[in-house]
Amino acid sequence: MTSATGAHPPLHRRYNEAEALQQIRNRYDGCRRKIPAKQIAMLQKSQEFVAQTRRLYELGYKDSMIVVIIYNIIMNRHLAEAGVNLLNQSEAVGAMREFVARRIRKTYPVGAFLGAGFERARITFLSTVLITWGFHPRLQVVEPAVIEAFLRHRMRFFELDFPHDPLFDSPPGDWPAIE
Amino acid sequence: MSPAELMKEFIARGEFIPSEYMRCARPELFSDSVETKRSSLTKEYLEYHLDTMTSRKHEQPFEAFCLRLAELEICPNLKPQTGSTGGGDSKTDASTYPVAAALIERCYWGTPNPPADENWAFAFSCMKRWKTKAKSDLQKIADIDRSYTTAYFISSRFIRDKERAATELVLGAKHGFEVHILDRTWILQKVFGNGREEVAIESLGLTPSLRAERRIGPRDTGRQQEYDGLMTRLASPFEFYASDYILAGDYQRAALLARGLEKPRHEIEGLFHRSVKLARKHGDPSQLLRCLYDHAWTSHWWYDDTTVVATAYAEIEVRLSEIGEAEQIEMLRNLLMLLLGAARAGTLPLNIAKTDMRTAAWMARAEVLSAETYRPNNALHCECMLWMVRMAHSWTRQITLEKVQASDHAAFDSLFPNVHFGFAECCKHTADCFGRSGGLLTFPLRSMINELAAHAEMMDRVQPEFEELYEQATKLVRQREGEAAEGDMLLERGIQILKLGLPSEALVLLGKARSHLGKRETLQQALRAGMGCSDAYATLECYWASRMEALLVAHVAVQIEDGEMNNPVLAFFALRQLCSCELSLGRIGPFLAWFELFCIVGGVLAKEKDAHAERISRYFLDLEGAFAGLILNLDEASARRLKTLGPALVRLGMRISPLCLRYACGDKTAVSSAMAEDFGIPLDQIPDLIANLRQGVSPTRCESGIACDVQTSVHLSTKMLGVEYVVESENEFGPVIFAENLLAVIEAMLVLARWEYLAFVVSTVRFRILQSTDGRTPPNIDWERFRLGDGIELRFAPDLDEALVRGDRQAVTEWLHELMLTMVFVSTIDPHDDIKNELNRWGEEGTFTRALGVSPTGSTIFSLVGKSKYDISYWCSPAAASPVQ
Repeated sequence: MTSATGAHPPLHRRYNEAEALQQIRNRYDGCRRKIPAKQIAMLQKSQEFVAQTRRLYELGYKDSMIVVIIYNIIMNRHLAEAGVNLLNQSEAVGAMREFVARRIRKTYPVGAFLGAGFERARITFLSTVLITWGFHPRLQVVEPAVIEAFLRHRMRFFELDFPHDPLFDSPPGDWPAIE
Repeated sequence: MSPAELMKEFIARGEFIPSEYMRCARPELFSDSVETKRSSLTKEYLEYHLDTMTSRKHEQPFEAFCLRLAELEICPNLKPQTGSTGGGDSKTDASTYPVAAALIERCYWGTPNPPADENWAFAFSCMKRWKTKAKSDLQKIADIDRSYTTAYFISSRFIRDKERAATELVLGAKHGFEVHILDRTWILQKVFGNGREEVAIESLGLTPSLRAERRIGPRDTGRQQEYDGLMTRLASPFEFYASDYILAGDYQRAALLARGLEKPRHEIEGLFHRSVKLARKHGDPSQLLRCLYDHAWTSHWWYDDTTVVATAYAEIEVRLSEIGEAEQIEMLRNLLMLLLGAARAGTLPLNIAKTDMRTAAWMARAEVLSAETYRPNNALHCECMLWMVRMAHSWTRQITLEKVQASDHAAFDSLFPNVHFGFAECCKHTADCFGRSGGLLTFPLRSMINELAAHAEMMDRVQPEFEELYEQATKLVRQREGEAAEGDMLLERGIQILKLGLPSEALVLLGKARSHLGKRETLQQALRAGMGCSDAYATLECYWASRMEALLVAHVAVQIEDGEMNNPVLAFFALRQLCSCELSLGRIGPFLAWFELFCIVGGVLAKEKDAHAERISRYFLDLEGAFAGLILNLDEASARRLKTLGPALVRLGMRISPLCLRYACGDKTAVSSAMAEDFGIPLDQIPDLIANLRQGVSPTRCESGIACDVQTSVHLSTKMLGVEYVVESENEFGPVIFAENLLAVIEAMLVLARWEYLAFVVSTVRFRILQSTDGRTPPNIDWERFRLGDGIELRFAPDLDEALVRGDRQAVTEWLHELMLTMVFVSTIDPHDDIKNELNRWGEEGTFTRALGVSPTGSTIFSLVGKSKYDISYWCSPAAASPVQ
């Protein structure tokens, strides 16, 4: 039994490596295909974005996660432009479903993928991952660091990935071919 | 004869003799020594008798005596001769008969080689010319057809060794069997050496004088030993007694021991008078009550004298309003019942017994105490007694009043005043009291039920309400006995597992054991279970929870019952645990409060046994060493804030800590020299000593702890399952003890939680304890603010300390339960069903009972050390810490 007062938490009982890898693959496949190649190319060329991703890599974030965050930013921009009321749950869910089914053509400036906007999307991404696992957040304000730590230590989230060509990993400029 | 049978006999005789009844009902309170008459047969007398047997023609008694002696000392399978004179038809005075092999193994034989399959012959003689007689007797034996292998010749004469040996040799060789000649020396040796005086007296028809002999019983042996020890100490009061309180207690104890030993009444009375006089002088009302009670009780039940009861009651009733404990109310009720009995029997005039006025006053006081629900055990005990007294009165009125003549009604009313409740109603209320006793540790349900059973004996008709009450009592007894047996087993296994180094597993069992054993009749086991829980928590580094359990143990164990501490050994260890926990939590004020009590209880224990003194002294030094380490780990600024603590430490008997405090304040050079001198350590080794002491405690603990001790607000915390729980409060008694309680419950609740089943998504849960006029106790909680990332504000009504000491305990416990459940639910993200399953498992494991069973702890702390000593400013004041013996 793990000590209740100890500093080393155990894995959560919902953790399942095979399921975790499948989730990563599903998320990556679902998002990677849909992000316009042009948008990826824009981001690959941005020094700022590359620096931002490098910091995230150091924290254990994988290329597959960054792709999902980019997709989330695009979706949020799209919903905002379409005037969807995100506080209305049924309206928001309907609009998201419609967006996911559509092919994205529009690209957004690199600035939309940097700084606070990116940070918000990152936190949303982490929370979404929790929901995918069946968790049920009951707090309205979350502590991102705690959620990140939970995923890191108790769900091994930053240790798992599946083999794929990275889009933003080093060396900069040595990018895989896009479509 | 059983007490019930004796009572019937008293009724038939028309008189009641208290001392006779008490001896029958409680024989263990009386002496178990037995007076016997023993003969005083002297060696000279027997010698003379043996010497003059022939002149008195006592040959036959001598033969009978020798036969009996030979049976006892040589072999038991002897057949006496049946002829008219010595030798008789069989030519021997006695001979052996064959014994079955199976019997040989199971019988006592006076010789290593039993004559089971051999023939032995015996000849006994008083003749002066023993040699001639031996030759003739042995010749006769040799002439018999039966082949003897051994022949004994026992003479009443003295025979010289040399002569005896030669004769044995000659006659043995002549007849071809082994010859043994035994003379008067042998007889005397066996009679007096082996305690065969009765054989000699009986067989020889001796008439020695009788002397009285007292065989001391096992209980009296212990009583006498204790009594002698006490009397030695009481003979030198200035040497052994620092206070009249202890002196009075020892006189009282000596009187009870003397009573048990059945010493003369004047001696016992003298001791009681002394104890009462000293108790009056010291002025402690509860001690005076105990002394007066024991004296009165003894006078009535041992010497059939009720006048002392009336005098004692008159003295006690003046201070009735000071009586606060149910046990004291019970003593008073017992005395009142004696007065009632005596007045009813006509042995005490009504105007002296004053039963009407006294019963009313007693009931009024019992009612007041029944309403003090912040002391649930005490309140329920008083309430239950009240209803039982009412029940007894209403029953007596119901069955007797109609038989009492109108002219006697006033006297009857005076004996049994109208209690204004019907018998049925009283039965219902008593049943309700029994029903509410579950979980109350010191409520004496068993003795209440015994009283009910005694009442039932007096009931000569069936009353449905009483039968219902009786049935409920029976069920409760069965249930409690079952629980107690289960609790005992859980306790033993829990302790075994704890010793195996598995505290988590032990905690489940010990927590359940404590809950099952939480009854008056299994109080000592419950305390052991509580102590086991405390140890387990401490091993798991849950110091708040550990101290909560130790608090309960200390509180119950130090309580005085029948003039003695409930369990001084457990009290000592619980206090030691409290001290250790406070040191681990870095809290100086509370540590000193417990340490003072630890020294007092240690002193009591050391007085009991010399062997204890050495261990107690070692524990004292260990704690002081750890405390010194805590002080040494303070930064200089913090140490300087505690500079005035020094005198209190000295008065508590500490030697190294005052020096360490000065050292921590920066006075290093002078203190090093003082340490070297005081402890005989070379100066260059002082830095090593300081370093060793520093390693004794965790510096991080003291950093956070000491800073808040002396400030206006405190931040107490614990970390469980990766979440830090912080309680912020004003540095006042009420909020602080509530904060401690809250953290203890959090630790106790989460310590066995399965971390892998809980996904906490907060790093810190912050509680803020406030007191304000718009607050309430227990407070409302705004969970929405918590969901929005705020702390949990607990806004209590003012005077939280008073509410925790005297308020509704049940309401606080239920509120804590709800708080814990909601807090776990809100701060985790596990799906509803998962959380529900986990909480259900906690319920099955007894987590809630274990975690909440001791709360709230306010009144416990208050009664143990009071408010002021819990605050470090008390210890920093010049008057702090009265000298500890």
